[in-house]
Amino acid sequence: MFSSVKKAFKNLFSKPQTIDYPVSPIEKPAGHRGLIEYGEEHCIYCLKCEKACPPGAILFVPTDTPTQNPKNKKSQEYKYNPHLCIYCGECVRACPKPEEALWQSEKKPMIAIKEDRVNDSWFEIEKLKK
Amino acid sequence: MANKKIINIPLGSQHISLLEPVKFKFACENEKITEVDSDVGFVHRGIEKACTTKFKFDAVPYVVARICGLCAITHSLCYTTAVENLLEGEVPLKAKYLRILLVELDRIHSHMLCLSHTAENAGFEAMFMQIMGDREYVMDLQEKITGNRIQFDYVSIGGVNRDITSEIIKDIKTNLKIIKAKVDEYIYEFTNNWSLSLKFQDIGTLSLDEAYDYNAIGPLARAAGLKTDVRSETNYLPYDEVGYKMQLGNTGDIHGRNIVRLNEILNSIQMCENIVDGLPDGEIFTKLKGKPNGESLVRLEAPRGELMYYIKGDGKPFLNRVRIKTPTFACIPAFMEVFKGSNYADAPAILASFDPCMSCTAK
Repeated sequence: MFSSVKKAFKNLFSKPQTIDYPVSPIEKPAGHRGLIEYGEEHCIYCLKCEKACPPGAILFVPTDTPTQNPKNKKSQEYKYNPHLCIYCGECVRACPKPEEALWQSEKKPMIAIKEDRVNDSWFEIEKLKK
Repeated sequence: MANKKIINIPLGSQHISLLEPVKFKFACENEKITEVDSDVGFVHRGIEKACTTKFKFDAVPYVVARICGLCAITHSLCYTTAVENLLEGEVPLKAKYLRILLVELDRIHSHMLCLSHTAENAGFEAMFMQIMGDREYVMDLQEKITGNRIQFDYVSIGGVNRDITSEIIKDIKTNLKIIKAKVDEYIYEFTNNWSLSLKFQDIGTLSLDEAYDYNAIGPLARAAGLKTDVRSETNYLPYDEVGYKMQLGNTGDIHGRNIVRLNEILNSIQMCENIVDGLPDGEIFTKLKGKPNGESLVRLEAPRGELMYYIKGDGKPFLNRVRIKTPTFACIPAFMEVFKGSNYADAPAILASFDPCMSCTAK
């Protein structure tokens, strides 16, 4: 009885356990898995990341306006779908030049909204691949 | 009354006191349940088919991890071990220790979730919130180690993805110490508090013979005194080196199941502490080459009992067969037996004490 009264009194003056979210931001620990980022100038276009990606969120599709990278012999373009990505980091582990060509940041993914046509625009990219 | 009237009452698939889609049909005589019929599979997602047709064998760990949020690590680890057996590669010892660490942290938070729901079903809402709040200490650890709270994606074929740093080891020690003190408090509450102990004693009892006959597994069987735990029966993971002890009860009622779970949390905390104290040096990943050719069957102790994976491959990137047997599905006959003879009013509390995981069952 005494201990429960003591605990109740203590809880009355202690801070709440929940985070005061919109006022104070949610802090993510260091090394938290976020968006995959791409450095085009270092890419050697080996397409290992595309093959390794479990959901197929990275695609290299043919383009008419290729970059100046001499390794890009087949004039392809890197496409990444952050809404399909599961942030597992398998692509980064497959990449022969991690940290330069492909790396995992700690940035949060953006919210998918209807105006962005996230599904339809990605289906069009997938058609280009086929 | 001359004629005893039998009334059929369904529980589920959607019910106010039921969190998961499972259906039990009770035939009740007054308040007593006399016959039980069950139905699962309301959330079937065709994962076994997808694993053999849509995804190559090295992407399947990420698919099966999404079967269940609570035992994500056990699913991916079980599949990965099965593939490693076929590729005949040796996983580094440090990776094995880190795998046990994650499996045991997963068990701690899963058991805490079950205990909080048991408390909620006893009408003890404050305890529910307290346990769920304390569970965050484990979730934070998991996020620090793997980079994600729920879907770890920590295990890959040949080892683990991330190494552990000395800061994380420090955090693990601090948080586990806090949880240990909290669990000691829970044991006191679950034993002495009227809502949680006396109300739950002799309710939903499964005897040792019934547990044996109906093939009960996991904490449900261990609370009845049945010595069954995959951790002591297999040697994929070095459980004997990290201080594993089987926790047994002898009553088989809801209270007994709660106490077994609490003791398992204490044992898991002990194992995690032993792992971080004696973590071996070395690599965390070895690249395994080749494609799975042949059959492999692996069992692993998930928080709810034995999880079994059977895979069959013929040297091609796509597997021929991925068969998953989940703990809750194997326990359904035992569940039905426990309900017989109980009061209908106790059914939600009994069901919560089983800790059913329907997203595992209907994968």
